This record gives sequence, structure tokens and C-alpha cells, in this order.
Amino acid sequence: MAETFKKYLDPKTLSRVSALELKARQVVEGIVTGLHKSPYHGISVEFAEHREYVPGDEIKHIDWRVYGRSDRFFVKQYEAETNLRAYIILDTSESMLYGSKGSTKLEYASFLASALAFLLLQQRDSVGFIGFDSKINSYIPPRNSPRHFRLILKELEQASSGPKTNLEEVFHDLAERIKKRGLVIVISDFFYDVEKTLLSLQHFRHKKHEVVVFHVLDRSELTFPFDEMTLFKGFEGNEEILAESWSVKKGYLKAMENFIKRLKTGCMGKRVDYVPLVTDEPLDLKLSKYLAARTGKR
Amino acid sequence: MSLISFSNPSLLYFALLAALPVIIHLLFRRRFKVVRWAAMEFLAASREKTRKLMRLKHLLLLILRCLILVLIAVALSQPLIKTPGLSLFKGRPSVYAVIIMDTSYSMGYKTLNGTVFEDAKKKALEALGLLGQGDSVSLITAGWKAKAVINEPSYQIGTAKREIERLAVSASGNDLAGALQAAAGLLKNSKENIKEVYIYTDCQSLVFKEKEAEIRRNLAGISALARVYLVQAGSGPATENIAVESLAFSREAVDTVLPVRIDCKLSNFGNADATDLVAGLYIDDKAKDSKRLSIRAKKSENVSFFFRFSDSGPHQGYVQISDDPLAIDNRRYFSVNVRDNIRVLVIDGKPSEKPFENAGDYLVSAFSPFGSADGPAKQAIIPDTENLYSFSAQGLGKYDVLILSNAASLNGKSLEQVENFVRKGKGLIVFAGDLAESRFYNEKLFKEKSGLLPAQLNRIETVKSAGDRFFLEGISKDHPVLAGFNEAQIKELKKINFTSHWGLTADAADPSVSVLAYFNDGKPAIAGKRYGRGEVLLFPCGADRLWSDLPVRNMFLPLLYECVYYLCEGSETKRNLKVGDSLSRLLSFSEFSESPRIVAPDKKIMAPRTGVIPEGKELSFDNTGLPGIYELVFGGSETVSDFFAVNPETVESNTEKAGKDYLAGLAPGDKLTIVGEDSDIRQIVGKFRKGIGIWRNVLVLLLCLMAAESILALFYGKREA
Repeated sequence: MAETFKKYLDPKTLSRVSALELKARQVVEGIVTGLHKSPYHGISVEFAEHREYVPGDEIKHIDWRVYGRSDRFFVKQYEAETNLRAYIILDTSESMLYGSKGSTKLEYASFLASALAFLLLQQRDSVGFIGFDSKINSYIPPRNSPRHFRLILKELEQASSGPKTNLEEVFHDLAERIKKRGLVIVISDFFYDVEKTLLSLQHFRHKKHEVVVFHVLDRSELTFPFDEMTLFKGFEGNEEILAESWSVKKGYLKAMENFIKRLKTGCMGKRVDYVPLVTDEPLDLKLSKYLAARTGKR
Repeated sequence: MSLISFSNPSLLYFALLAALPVIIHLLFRRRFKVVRWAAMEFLAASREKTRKLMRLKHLLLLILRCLILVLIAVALSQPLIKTPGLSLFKGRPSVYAVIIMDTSYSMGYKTLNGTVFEDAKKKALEALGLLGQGDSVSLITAGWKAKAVINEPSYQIGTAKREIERLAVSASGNDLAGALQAAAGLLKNSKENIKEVYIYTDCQSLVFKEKEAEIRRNLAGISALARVYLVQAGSGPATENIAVESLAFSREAVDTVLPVRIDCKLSNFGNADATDLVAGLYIDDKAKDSKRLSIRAKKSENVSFFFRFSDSGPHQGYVQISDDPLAIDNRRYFSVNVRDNIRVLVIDGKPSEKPFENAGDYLVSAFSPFGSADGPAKQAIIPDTENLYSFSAQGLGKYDVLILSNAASLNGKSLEQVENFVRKGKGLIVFAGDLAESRFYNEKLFKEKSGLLPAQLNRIETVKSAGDRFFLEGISKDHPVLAGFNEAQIKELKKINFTSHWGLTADAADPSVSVLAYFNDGKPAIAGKRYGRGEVLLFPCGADRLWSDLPVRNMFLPLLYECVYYLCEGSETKRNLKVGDSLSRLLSFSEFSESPRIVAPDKKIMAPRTGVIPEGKELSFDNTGLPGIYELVFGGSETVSDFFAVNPETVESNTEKAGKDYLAGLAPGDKLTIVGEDSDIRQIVGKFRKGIGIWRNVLVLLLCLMAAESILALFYGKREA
């Protein structure tokens, strides 16, 4: 177990990240009072705003002072800080096993997942974990106890990769399963049909979840640093391609660029946070940057 | 038939290297790096897009590389291509070939495979076999005089072949220089694309060196117009040859009284000594004598036969040696007109009643040294004497030589007859003694160099004191009269004492005049002049003892005999000729009405020409191409009236061959190719004839392709990566 901690809880990363508050941009429904604002107005002690009275509103919420000044009925609205229910969804398909320099994408993604879980738990938010490839392989429902973190780490360690990715099926399934609104964090290389991926992400959004996409790629996948005759063996399935690297490079990079662009614009269009990550980049730095940007948005 | 041919076709095998890029490509495809890859979808999409284009690019590069290697092989093979105007049937430009055949007699040298000339003909026919439709040929023989057998370019190659097959070795020498000159003229008029000259010869060293300057000049001329192939005919060294190089009679005027010496020079041109060689003398087709001798390699030996003819009249014969590979020079023919004796008429200008008071007695006794005991029939020279003052010049025709001894002058009629006598080939000896009238001599006999005398009489030179003497010096041994005298005899001649003599002035520049000897005062002592067909000898003193002791000197008789024999030569028809010479003979009065015919050595009967010249009616004949005896027959008679001997030039007998390097250096540049005895003419000619070299063009194309390959490889390859 100690090894598991060491493996996924990079102290450096965690120290940097813990200094920041992970705040959801949207207010989520929660039981545990946290730093996240509750979407349920009126029950909280903290005044939020006035709004014009409409028939049906409770009379007790009418601000009579405002009525005295303006001769119009306004009701008071209150915000209550709730705890966040976050779901970390990790792609464990075989394509995530690729790594050109030391660590694989899966390892990098696992670091990211553990770091995020730790931070959320630190903020007294509930964190759940889902591992998938072509189907959901593991599911840990959201909790906010410290023991829960250990459970997640254990699951991360035991995460086994399946041959194929099926984002579409898994995401639709999860969108239906998760009843309460929360934060959905998807960590994957998204090597799947990008349109289907976006459609399935839309499903989460439809269910009022805030969605953050961490797109993990290897540097080689972005630069294609090959210049000789190469036999490329696929991770998923038995696919093999023998090609002169220099001749396919241009087309490959163009296709990759289009893919990333489409995923990014698709996410933006659906108000999904898109965070590109390359495995040779320091995770702490990238994560801090993202969280800082996210905080700024609030 | 291919339009492209190659000088070095064997190098075309290098074109197989064109497979190298394909092999490398295939090997390269088998050598690859294996990479586990996640983003296969994008890779597959990219590859699908570029696959066709890349395949095309690869194919283009592969073709370029293969082509480069093929072109390298092609360039190395020196491709040749036909030019416009060439015959499509041949796949090369039209050829104009001039064939020069050396027909000199040395080409008749027998080898194990036949004669050298047969080999030359075979090789020439081979060369003609390389000609085809549209090609033309001329044929020149380089015999004693170059002759164009086919002058205008003939497109009938078959006819040319038949002409070559018909050619035979001549008995003459070689006129290669003339043949080359004739070839140059033909080449200049030819418009063909390819011009070739084939010279088939045995490459005799002596022949080439004898006319080297002329051959060099002519070869330079034709090598500027055509490619010249000097084809060495025959096989092996072919130098073993012994020849009867020369044959001469010790005197021209042969009689039945005295034996004549027949001198032969036998030469061994081979590299081996000749031993037990037999030289036989044959006269009138009968063996008369033989000699056995040995001749060392590259040396000569003289053999002499002594023979006395028993019958007067024309005779023919030959000297023959044992057989050897070159037969033609093993026999040397001669023809001689044997007389019963020589008739001399002495015109005594100072007759005397007392014996030996006048020159006539000395002269007559000189010609009859044995007195009259043996009778006139036994004398070689029979003299008659006549008094100048009773001399009528009638009946001069029966004499061979006339001697004017101390004659003061001649009357006009006599003078005219004497002139005619000499003009017809008879001899005249003039002893100008104390009675000679210089005015008559100079005006009538010398006639400003146009008369009988070789010199002008100036004045009588006399010794200044009683003890003084004039004597002979500057004796010319080159002159036939004195050539036969040895040193002792020359010394004896110098001992003759003269007290007086006519001072003569002879024109040394006149080719018809010769001075045989001078006095010690520098004045001519004996002068000669060719006049018409005859000759005159002038002694500026009398034949008596008044001015000299000449008539009592022991050299008087030999000197007189030599003079008479020499002067008789003029009356002799030139019967011994070289191949190609024209023979001529004055006809006697009895022969005028008869029609002459010549029977050649091959027994062909031919008609000679006849014509009138100042000396009389002359018969001439030019067709003396064969060595041997030519018989002159008149009318329907079977009797041979005269013989003519025709012999070949002996320069051809030395069959030593010129070196290949020497021959190659005869023409400037590289247009002269020496084709060795065993070389394949097809291969050599084919190398030069196939067409116009395009290897430079191929190289340019090659460089362009290499540049294109480099650019494409750079463009398609790493830059894309």
C-alpha cells in the first residue's frame, strides 16, 4: 500500500496543487457543505440576490424593505455552500499503454487521477472513480472519507487495460447512472471516433454535470519522430502498418492536428473544459495552471 | 536490324547492374524498425492517402536509378548510331571502300597456305564481304605502275569480287605511292559518309623505305579523307629467298671468235645460309654450264660463266638457281646478238709507203695482232683500210666502227654519210693528229655542239722542253671503256708519253658529252659523245708516234679494243629489258615489207607497232609485263629474227617485312590501322564503321538523369519526413 502511495502521490505535485482550491464552476447539489455553492437558493444563510416575485413564491421570502422603497415585490434569494460530487473517469484501454520516454500515458493519467482525487478529498468533496476500456471495469462511488482515497489508489493500481476503447457506450452508460449533478473528469487519449466522443460528452452535459476533459498524449504522437521504414504495431487489435515514416508523417500530423482541433472545439462548444496534456510535461505545472485558470473563471 | 551498335558490346553486360536498385529496394523493404503505436487510426488514414503517390514516386526513382546504371553500361560500350542517309538495311552509313592490291612479284611468295597474294585476295574478299547494298568500291593495283581496275565507285560488289579474283601477281615492282595518290583522287570525289582504304601488301621493308617520303605524304593525304587499313598479307616471316639479282655480259658485242664472260650476282636475302646452291647457265634452252656455291645469309656472291657462241645470230638464255619460295627471281634471262666478227674501217689521213710511218698501220696491226696466219675468220675484229683521198663513203653499212685517223677534212658527201653512219648506231673514233684542220673540225664536225665531235679543237699544245711530257690523269673508271681496266692497267695508261695534243674544249654540262680522261695540263685527253644511236670518241692526237708513244705502248691494243667494243654497243639493239620497259628495234631493209609479230613468254602472239624515225623504220612494243623471252617473228616464217629478254626489278626480291610500329608511324593521327596477319578484319573494321559515336550524348543524358534522381530523391525523401 505504501508503494501505491509513492507510485501515484507524487509529493511535489500534490504540494503544488493543494495550495489551490479546486472549485467547480457550476454549483452542484451536495450534502456536505464545502467550498462549492449550492444551486438551491433560499435555504442558505448567505444572501445571493433579489428577484421579482412571481406567483407561487413563498410570502416569507418577500423583501419588504425593497417593497417600501420601490413599491414592487421582490423575493430574497440565498446561496448555500455544498460539497462536490466528482467522478474521475480513467481510460485504461491498451492505447493508453503507449509511452515513448519512460512513462506511459496510462501511468501519467493515473498520476493525474490520484492527484485530483486527493485534492478533492482535501476539499471535503466526494470523489468517485471509474476505470474503463470497452466497458466499465471498476466503479467506486463518490465518498469523502480519507479511507476512500486509499480505495481509489488501490483501484488505480489494479487497473488493467482492455483491448479496445468504447468511449461512447461507457459514457452514455455513466451519464445514465450518475443521478446527481457533479463534476465529471474524463482522462483519456480519446483515440476513438471524435464525433461519437463529443456526443457522449454532451450526454453528461445534458445531465447538468460539469465536465473536464484531460486529453493525455505522448510527445511522439504529436511529433511523429520517425524517419525510416517502420512497422507500426497497434495496441488495440492486431493491426500492423509498414510504412516509410517520412512519407506518412505529413498526413499523420495533419490528421492528428485535425483530431485535436475537433475535440477541442467540440468540447468548447459544449462548455466542456478541455485540458491537453503531454506526458513529458510536468504534471504539477500543467495542473496548477489549469486550476489557476479555472479559479479565475469563477 | 538494330540502328544502334556498340564498339565494346561486351561491356553491355554491366547493364545487368540495373537490377541493383531493385534488389536494394527489396532488401530495404525487408529492413525496418518495429514500433508499438497507439495512434494507428491517423497513421492508417495518412498512409491510405499517400500510398498511391508514394508508389508512383518510388517507381519513378527506381526507373531513374535503373536507367542510370543501364546508361553507364551503354556509355562504356561506346554506342554508335546510324546517321541520316544511311541504308536501313545495313544499320550504318554507306561506305566507299578503295581496295589497293599490291601485285608486285614479291606477293607471289609461297607459304604453307598458298602464296601471299592468294592470302591478300582472300582478305580483300573478306573486306568486300563487309560491304552491302548502298556501299561502293574502287579497285587499284599497285604493280609496276598503279592502275585503277575499277575507277569510278562501283555499287556492284559482286563485280569487284570477281575483279579481285581475276587479279594475278605481276612481275614488276611496287608502286604503292602511285596507288595511294590514285586513291586520294577517288576519295576526294566521293560523297559517302564513311570512306575506307584497304591496302593489301606483304609490307616489304625495302619498298616502303625506298619511297618512304612519297608514301608518307600520300598516306597523310588519304588518311585525312578516310580510315586506312594496311592489311599484312601472308603468314610468317616469309623472308627466305635467293635471287639472281643481276646478269651481265663482259662485253656487249659478242662474237663467235672470243668467249664472253657472263657475270651473275646471286643474293641470299634470307636469314639462313644457303649451301650447295646450283646456278646453271642455259642458252637456247640447253644447259651449258653450272656452278655450285654457298651464300651466307644476307650476303651476295658473284658467279661467272665463260662461253663462246659457235653460231652467229640472235641467242637467248638464262641463269637459273635452285627453287625457293619466290620463284620469279630464281631465273634471269638474257638475249644476245652474236656476230661472226666486228668490221672496222680505218680512213687513213696520212698514208705512207713505208710501214708504220702512218697511224693506219698501227691501227690495223692492233686489230690483227696475230698477223694473217690464222686467217680473217679467226679474228674478232676485222679491219679494212682506206685512203682518205680515195674515200667515197660507199659501202659503209657493212662496218661497225669507222676510224678517222689524222684526217685533215672530209668532203661534204662523205661527211653526211659518216653522220648517218653514226646516227644509225655505229661507232666513230677520231684521231685528230697534226694534219687535222681545226677549222673543218670545228665548223663541220663540232658544229657548235650539234655535230659529231664532243669537243672543239683550239690549238696544238706542245711540251715546252724536250724532257717534258704530257700524260693521262683523271681517268674516269665510270665510263664503260675504262671500267674494265684494273689499277695496273690504269698505271700503264698513265705511262703513255705525249709531246703534243690538240687543246680541247668540251662542254661538261652537255649530258651527251663525256670526258674519259684528261691530260696533266687539264685538257681533255679522250672525249665521247652520243650522236643519234651511235657514239663518237675523240682522241686529240694521232695514232702514230709523231706526238706520242701510244701506238707502241702495251695498253694501246686493250684501249683500242675496248673502244671498238664499246662503240659497237650503239649498233646493238637493246635486247635486255626490265618488266614494263618498251622494246624497240630498227628494221633492216629486208624486214620492211614483212609484218612483225611478238611471241610473249606465255606464247601469246602480239603485234608490235612500227614507225618511221630519222634513222629508219622502227619496231616498238610496250606489253612487256611478263618476265621471259619475247620472240620477234616476221611474216609467216617460223624463224625467230630476234630475241628480247625481260627481267623483273630485283628490289622486290628482298622480302624482309617492315615492322608494325614503323608502318603505323607512316601516317599522322590514328587514321591508319595496321591489320596484322592473323587479325580479324571484321572486328577491326566493325569497330570503326558502325556509325557515329553517341557516347557523349549518352553521358550528357546520364548526367541529367543523375541530377534528376538526386533532386527527386531529395524532394521525395528526407524533406518529406
